[in-house]
Amino acid sequence: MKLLTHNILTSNIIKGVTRGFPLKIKSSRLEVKEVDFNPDFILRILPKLDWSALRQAATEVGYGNGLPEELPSSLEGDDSLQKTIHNILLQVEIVEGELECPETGRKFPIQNGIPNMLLNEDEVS
Amino acid sequence: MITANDDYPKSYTKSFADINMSRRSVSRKKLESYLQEVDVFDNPKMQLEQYPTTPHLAASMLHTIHTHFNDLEGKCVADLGVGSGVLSLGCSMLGCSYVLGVDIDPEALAICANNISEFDITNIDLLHCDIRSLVNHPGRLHGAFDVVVMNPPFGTKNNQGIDMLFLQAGLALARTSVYSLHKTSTREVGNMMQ
Ligand SMILES: C[S@+](CC[C@H](N)C(=O)[O-])C[C@H]1O[C@@H](n2cnc3c(N)ncnc32)[C@H](O)[C@@H]1O
Ligand SMILES: C[S@@+](CC[C@H](N)C(=O)[O-])C[C@H]1O[C@@H](n2cnc3c(N)ncnc32)[C@H](O)[C@@H]1O
Repeated sequence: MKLLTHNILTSNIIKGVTRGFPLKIKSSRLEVKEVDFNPDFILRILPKLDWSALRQAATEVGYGNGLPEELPSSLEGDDSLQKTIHNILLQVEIVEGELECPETGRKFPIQNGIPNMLLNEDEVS
Repeated sequence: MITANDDYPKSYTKSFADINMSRRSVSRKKLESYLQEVDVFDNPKMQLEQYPTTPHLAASMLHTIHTHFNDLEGKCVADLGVGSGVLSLGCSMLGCSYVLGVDIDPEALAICANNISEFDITNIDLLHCDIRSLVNHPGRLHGAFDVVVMNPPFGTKNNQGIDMLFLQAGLALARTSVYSLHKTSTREVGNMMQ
């Protein structure tokens, strides 16, 4: 699971959960896989992401270094920050670990890189 | 992600090392030949309508989306009911930036994960969840994708209406287009603009 994926997952599929974001992350195994760097994609997608959740998630898995608290108004021309963001969004992958609902504490295991957010019948709203 | 240098690990990757050079112009035939290498369901579960899209249909559909609508290169894509992954892999081969494949079946996801690693593709992520739970809960997945592709269950196995739920989910997740295969039109690509 990439941190880009983490940034768009919510646990409000559970009955009674209102926002369910951001999910806490625990990682017991992580890999960094090379992905083509496409600055246009990074610039286009960043405004749609929640920067503080991304920064928090990266920090939780040990990749928070060099991430500013506030995103500068423009990343245009800042090659180094673009690449750092590319790395945490697309290259860092949680292979084994878990996600946790911030409201209920419900845990979602991540195995073989795949988060399992399938609910039991009684959890579905 | 896909590299074509000399030390490319040919032993365990499938034969499309040249695609990086020619992604923009990869022909439909070539794409189809790559997709023929994708492993399909071991024991298809009829209840979940696990019929893989044929390499021919997948290549035609994706090639059309790529060349006529320019809806893949650099795009953020979701594949609902990803199965063994033929559509997601094709999207990645045609240059999309990120794909999220979603399926309810862990065995299908395991085959898909294996296909992704055999092709040495690194921009596809998988999520194990029920599409039905995404329909009524406008979470952050809603509007998070440029494009949704899917070959949904048709709802012929005591699950009537599942095709419409997949469509609803697709329309919620995509900002631009949903490309979906349906009962009456498996020969054509349905393109729905929001
Ligand atoms: C089993 S289906 C439908 C037949 C009949 N309506 C039924 O319910 O049994 C017949 C063929 O259509 C194809 N098919 C069905 N659903 C499909 C899907 N979602 N995607 C691709 N092919 C599908 C399969 O190849 C299958 O062999
Ligand atoms: C017709 S197959 C298509 C598989 C693959 N996308 C392809 O094109 O070869 C439909 C897929 O939807 C999955 N599926 C069925 N019901 C689902 C649900 N409620 N939520 C998520 N996935 C589901 C099945 O496991 C199966 O992999």
